Amino acid sequence: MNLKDVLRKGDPAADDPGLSPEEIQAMRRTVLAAVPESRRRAWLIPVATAAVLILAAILGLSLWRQPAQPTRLASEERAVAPSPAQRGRVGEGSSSPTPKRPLPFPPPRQGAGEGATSHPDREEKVVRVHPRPRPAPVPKPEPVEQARTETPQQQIQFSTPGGTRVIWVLDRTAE
Amino acid sequence: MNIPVTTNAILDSAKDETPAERLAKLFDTHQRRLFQLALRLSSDREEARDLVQEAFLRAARQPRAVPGGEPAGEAWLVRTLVNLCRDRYRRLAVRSRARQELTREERQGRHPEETHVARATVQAALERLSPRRRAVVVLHELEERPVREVARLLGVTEVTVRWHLLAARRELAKTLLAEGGLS
Repeated sequence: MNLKDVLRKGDPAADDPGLSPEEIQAMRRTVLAAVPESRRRAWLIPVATAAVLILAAILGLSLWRQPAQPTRLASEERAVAPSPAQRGRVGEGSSSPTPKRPLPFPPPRQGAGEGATSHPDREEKVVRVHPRPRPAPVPKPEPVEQARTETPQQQIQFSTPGGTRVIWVLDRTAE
Repeated sequence: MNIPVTTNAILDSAKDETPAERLAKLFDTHQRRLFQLALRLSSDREEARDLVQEAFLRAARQPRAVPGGEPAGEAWLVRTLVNLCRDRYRRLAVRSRARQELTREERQGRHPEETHVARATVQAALERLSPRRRAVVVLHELEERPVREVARLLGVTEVTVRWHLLAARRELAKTLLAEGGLS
């Protein structure tokens, strides 16, 4: 008896009837049920990747825009702050006052509007002045009455923090 | 060897099929043959059923890995089955040795019928071969496939198949002579 005959005689699958129809159907169901699952997974990967990318983009955009806001606010503040030129105009106004000039110490907002419209190039100077502490209260001139502008003499009064009162009497006719 | 004349037609039709349809066709065509091969490789009915199911499950989980067309799909399934046998062979080496002892006992007295003795002897001899070598012997000697087809199914060269066959015959002859199955 040669090797081939021995192997055929002892073939483990020689008399085996194979799988029963029930076994085959059960196996078929199990195998085919695994297909949609794998397809769903295949779809999940690109969807999840896209979601992560979109989230990262949104996060990046929000982080990028956040620092821009303070700078814009700072520029707004700069525009609001009174410029030294405006402050200097006090002295100017005091040395050679003209009756129809604006008040030497206008409220900050009033000055801002003026500075922003008439001297937009002076903003650079303002940047240097802004972080300084507020100067000591400068003696505010008492409001000049409108009626006085009609008269040839004009009076400007200052009161220093020490209590000294300065009164300038400007004669219009002396010009 | 049966080479399908309408290979292109099969490939064209395979393009339109969904993975589930393709797998169903593969299953219906090859499940019986694969089960027989698994039974010859594992010598255990339950194990053979598990092996066949696992091979088809692998095809279901990665449908793109299974090549299109009838012969290529069959070759992929056979290779997967042999690889699964190899994995299981490594894991169950201890259990396999225990089973060999049991078959020896069976041969000695419990089932004296000639057929059963012959089957147990062949099973024991086959189990001593490595899974790939066992697959070569089973496909060539028991399923009577030509060397070229065995090489295609296992994804190896014909020379490799012939070398495995030669070595397997020597090993089997040695084992069967020792067990008294070969005179």
